[in-house]
Amino acid sequence: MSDTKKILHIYRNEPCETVNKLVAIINRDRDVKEYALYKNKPNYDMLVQMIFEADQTISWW
Amino acid sequence: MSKKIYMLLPNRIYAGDGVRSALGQAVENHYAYPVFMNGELPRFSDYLKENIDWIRDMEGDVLQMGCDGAELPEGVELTPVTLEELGERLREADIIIPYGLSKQTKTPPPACGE
Amino acid sequence: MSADPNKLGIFVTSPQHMSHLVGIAKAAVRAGKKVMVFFTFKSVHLTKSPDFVTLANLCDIEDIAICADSYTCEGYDPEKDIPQGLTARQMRTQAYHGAVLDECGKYLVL
Repeated sequence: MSDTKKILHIYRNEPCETVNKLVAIINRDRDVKEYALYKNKPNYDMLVQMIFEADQTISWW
Repeated sequence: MSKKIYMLLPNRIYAGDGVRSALGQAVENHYAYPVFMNGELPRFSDYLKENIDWIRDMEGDVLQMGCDGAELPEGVELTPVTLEELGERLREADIIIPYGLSKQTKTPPPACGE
Repeated sequence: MSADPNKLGIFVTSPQHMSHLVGIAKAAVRAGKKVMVFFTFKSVHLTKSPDFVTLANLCDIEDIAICADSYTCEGYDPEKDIPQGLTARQMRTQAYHGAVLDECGKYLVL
């Protein structure tokens, strides 16, 4: 089993350049997933599953 | 267990309250780090200045990214960080809170008050 | 107290995401999880949304609260105008956010 930290990034709006740069640093050597809430109709069941699978969720503005 | 909590504050309307909220977690024995981002600084009322001092007294810190010291009122000291330094700090954070809303295009007018 | 791995804490700091909040809470309950929610600063305006009662009904009574100081700062009366879905006991301080962090194995900001 991998002990790499699992990070989920949720984007409530399209991320700005600052967010993209921070995310790139945070993601180094991490197991990363992303979910864009602002795109299309959200699949909340899938999102909740992703949140519970992640070690840490960061929900950007 | 005490957690390292970063409160990210890119919107000056939300920035002062973000510090209050961060202090709330310092009082709960967490390490609180509010960060004023993009040079967006709130008005530094006496209440806000006291909250900043309290966070420091409780082993947290108040950071700023994107403004030079000249913009700070007398008696207010914030720890400067670059974007890269902030990113490295966030890697060590237990909790990252992008607080409130993102940066506004326009500077809030005086009508916004405190 | 150790965090419950099946409990999702949601810290609401933005007044913009009520539909996401309710959608996520409903999905969490469908998945057999518990939800604990704290509203602060301008997000307390969401208590005036018709969906707030829907959200409150998805949580145990002790598992949803708002910052009473924020509610007052935004002009509401924290004694005479307690939001529908809350009791007076759920008009809380930022310490409740600390409880969310302590009790919930998963954590989300909206």
